[in-house]
Amino acid sequence: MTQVEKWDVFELALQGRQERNPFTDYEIHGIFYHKKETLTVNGFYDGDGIYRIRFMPSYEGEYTYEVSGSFSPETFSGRFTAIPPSKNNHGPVRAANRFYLEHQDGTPHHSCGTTCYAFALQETEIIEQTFQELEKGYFNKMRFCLMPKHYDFCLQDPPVFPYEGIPMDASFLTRENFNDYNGAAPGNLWNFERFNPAFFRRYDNIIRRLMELGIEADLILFHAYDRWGFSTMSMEENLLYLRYVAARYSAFRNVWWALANEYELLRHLTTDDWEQLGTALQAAAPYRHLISIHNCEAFFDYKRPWITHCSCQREDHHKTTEYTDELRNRFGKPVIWDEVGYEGNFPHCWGNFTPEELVRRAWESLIRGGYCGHSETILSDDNIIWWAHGGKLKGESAKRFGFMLDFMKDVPGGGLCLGSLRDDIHFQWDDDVAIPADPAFNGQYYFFYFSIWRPSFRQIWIDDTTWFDVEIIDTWNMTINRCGRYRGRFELPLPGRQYIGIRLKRSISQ
Amino acid sequence: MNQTDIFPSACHRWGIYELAFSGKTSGNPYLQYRITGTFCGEQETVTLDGFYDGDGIYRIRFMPSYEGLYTFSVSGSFSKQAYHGSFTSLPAVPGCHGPVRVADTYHFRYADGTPYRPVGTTCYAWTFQKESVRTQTLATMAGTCFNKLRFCLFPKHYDYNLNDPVCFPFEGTPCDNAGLTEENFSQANCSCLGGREIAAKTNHWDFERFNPEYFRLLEDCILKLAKAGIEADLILFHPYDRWGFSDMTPEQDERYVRYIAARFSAYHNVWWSMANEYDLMPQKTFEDWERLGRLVKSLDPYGHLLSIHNCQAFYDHTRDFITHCSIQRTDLYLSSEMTEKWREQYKKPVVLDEICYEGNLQHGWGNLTGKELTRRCWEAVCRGGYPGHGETFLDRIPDGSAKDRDVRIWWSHGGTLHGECPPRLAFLSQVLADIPGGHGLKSIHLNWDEVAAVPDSPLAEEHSYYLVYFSFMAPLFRRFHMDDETWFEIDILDTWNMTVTHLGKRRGEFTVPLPGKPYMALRLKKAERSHCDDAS
Repeated sequence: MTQVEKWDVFELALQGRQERNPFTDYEIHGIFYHKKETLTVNGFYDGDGIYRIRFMPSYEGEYTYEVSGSFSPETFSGRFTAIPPSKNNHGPVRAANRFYLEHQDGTPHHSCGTTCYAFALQETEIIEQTFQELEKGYFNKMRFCLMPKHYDFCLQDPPVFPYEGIPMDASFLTRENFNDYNGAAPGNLWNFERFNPAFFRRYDNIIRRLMELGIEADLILFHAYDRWGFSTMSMEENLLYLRYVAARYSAFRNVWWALANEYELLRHLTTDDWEQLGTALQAAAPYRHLISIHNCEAFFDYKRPWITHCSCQREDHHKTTEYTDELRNRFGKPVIWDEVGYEGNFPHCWGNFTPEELVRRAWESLIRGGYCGHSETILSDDNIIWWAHGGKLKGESAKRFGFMLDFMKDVPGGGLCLGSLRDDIHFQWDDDVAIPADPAFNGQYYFFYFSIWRPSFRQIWIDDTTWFDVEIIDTWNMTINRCGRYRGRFELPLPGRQYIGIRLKRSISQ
Repeated sequence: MNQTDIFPSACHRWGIYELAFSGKTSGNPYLQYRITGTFCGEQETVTLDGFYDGDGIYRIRFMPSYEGLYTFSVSGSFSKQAYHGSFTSLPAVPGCHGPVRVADTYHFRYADGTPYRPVGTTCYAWTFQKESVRTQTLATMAGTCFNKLRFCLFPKHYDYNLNDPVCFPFEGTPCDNAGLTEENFSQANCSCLGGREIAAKTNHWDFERFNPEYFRLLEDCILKLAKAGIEADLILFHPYDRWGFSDMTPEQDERYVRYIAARFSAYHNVWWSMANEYDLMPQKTFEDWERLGRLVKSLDPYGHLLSIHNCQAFYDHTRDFITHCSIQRTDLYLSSEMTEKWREQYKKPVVLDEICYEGNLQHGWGNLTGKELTRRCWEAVCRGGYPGHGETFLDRIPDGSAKDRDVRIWWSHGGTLHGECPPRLAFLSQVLADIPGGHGLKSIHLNWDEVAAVPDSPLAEEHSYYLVYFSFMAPLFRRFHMDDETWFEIDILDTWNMTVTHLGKRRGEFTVPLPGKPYMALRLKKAERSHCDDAS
């Protein structure tokens, strides 16, 4: 019998009707039965008379299914076995303990993402370079757009388009004039009722490769960087697109839905429209994948029930992830900083700060119980920029994110939270101290982070009785120096440099 | 009786005309006798109090604000006699421009109209160090750009400040400081629970008898600063106290304020800072500060600048006796970036007296890098405020032993500077001095992702000067479009490496190449017409 790993994709390809418009005129759905779940999922038309249905089993054991619909007069039934997941398959990521993330099997997920908006639509060589970088393991989430991107450094036509039709002529676009062609520029001729399966197949492949690397695919469904009119479709067209995407990609366990990037910049859509789209996506997509919507200026109301976490762009230029705890309190959900600005040398303020500053922002987020993402906007001769194209990493922050990810994996429980306000410990006013969020680990772990400050020593006083193993963590130089065991009130010499932390772990022998 | 011949016949405008008289010594002269004088010139008549200076000598000091002939009369219960005389107020000595005043809402200028753009520093307790250190501090100041020094009139009790001052403001004996350590010093603080009781028990002061030697020392310091062209930002009250000076009765506070005003008002370079971190003194109420602030204002006939400095909560700087905002940043991350907000809120000059210090202390306010403090100072200037410097370097890591007592840190003791910030602030001062119109800047909206500023002076020609600061951002180029007609001379300022690179003239829409490093600024100056013709 067919075997599929739990949380992997079971897929059926079926012949069906080709007359009229198969994307809109026929439907296909399957009911999957297991002793612990019964799930109905939609399939999709993949061109050339082929309809597909994809299913992600959430349990081990026997599944039976029946697939039917107007696409075919027949009903197709069968069975398969869901076998135990392989070592790196932990299932989809869920929000857990209000502010944190974990995989379905209970493994904590310490989100450490990066962004390459248009990498999936680059030529093969660049895509392969991107995957080579991702294999280094610095990141466990990739944020990218499904629709092609029209923006500075990204003015070439993609190799393939999501719809049948003809794009406008792009040959005259320049850095100076590209902004004049935002939205549905003249010269485009698209049929928004006929998808181009080759386009979406490309993403099947990208998402699967990310999945195999253990990397979450944070799929941006709408964005405003557009000259083709994909950002200005009607609500009916938007909903058709969402249902197609949900049917096609939901069965990949690593999918996250980013309903929009900078939603406010799609100026014709109202908050009510986004509500409708978010709710429709939630309804159309089984398996409860994470869903959020990313701001440009003002945060969306992340308290909305269809939103699982805050996908934030920093609102202030100077103070960014230092607001993590405020956002947690305000929205009561995990805080993921998908854009706090990038390492680079761009003319724009969001793309030209030092790697030190980006890494610092990530650690400020970490100690407050948030998750901060990376990207690079480094101009060089090849005009290949990680933030847009992927390619090769050129900056200095990426490997520091890797160091930070390793650090996070070592945190007991699912994550950290700010502990400075606890009144049973002798914290000082200028201590930024993180403690495990899980009270089961109370008193076992403290992390002091000094950010831009560079004390030459610090006094630490947790209590008078507990022995701690003390380490100095240099978050920039990526070193962990063991300082020995301490108890009571003690003074620790520090290197007098920025970006230093002190980690205290309760000693095994007291 | 006419004693004209024994009085000095002249002084300089904004200098000090001082008279000394023998007077009564019975009882407590500080408390029991008064000396008052009226000074009358063509353009002003000023009545003010003198003070008892010990040893039977009463003094009265007057700062003429104008040139010309002045007459005076001095009398009071200190003496049975009344004194009259006259003197000539000569032109100000070169380099003396008179007291600093608020100008055009957000800025300052000297009384003679000379621009004054404060770039200050702080040495809280420098006056109480031994003479060699004081001399060193003044020598250090002479090599910097700092044109204001902020310091305390009362001695300071704090971490790294546990030694006794060289002398005390009152007659009496101080508490024993032998047992004080970094760990326990807070418990002896009058602002802390139990601290005032300890102070009251262990100190023995006669708050009704000043120690003139102490105040003479302060005067010497103020005068030396005046001669060096440095404003003396005098802090009247502060919470770092083990002696009870922050915990006197309202009557004692008032007597102290009157004594200070009588002694120091005539120094043209005096600024009054009612308190440092007023909100750390639960001993004093809002009404106390209001009363004391008004008192100083009423006693000071010259209208010296007056403010009150916060720790966590700003004082309401809109109060009428306050001339400018003396600000400590209240957020760990955002400091001078909030300057515009404060300007808008208080409609007064914004002086950022504490935005943390360059150093390596254990305390969060005292271990910024030189780069970060310099950056904060530039943000302040480009947003229409004025920055303050401070430095807190430890020579060595203390081990808790007594030797730490002799540690010398600029922020408190003065001495020498070790940081990277001061030369950068000198560069900033040069940029400030070059701004047309006599004042600093105000920020404007040019591009959304930069700090752009123009001269904030009615005397500056519009559209003639722009300063754009990129702070921690590191663009490789930037595009500008001011208008289609005007030629601008473009300078790239590397605010960290202190270089000015002249790029030449640009007009219309243009791209400026930049080095892709943080801390860069651009200066655009309208080109002279003749140059425009050359270029076009």
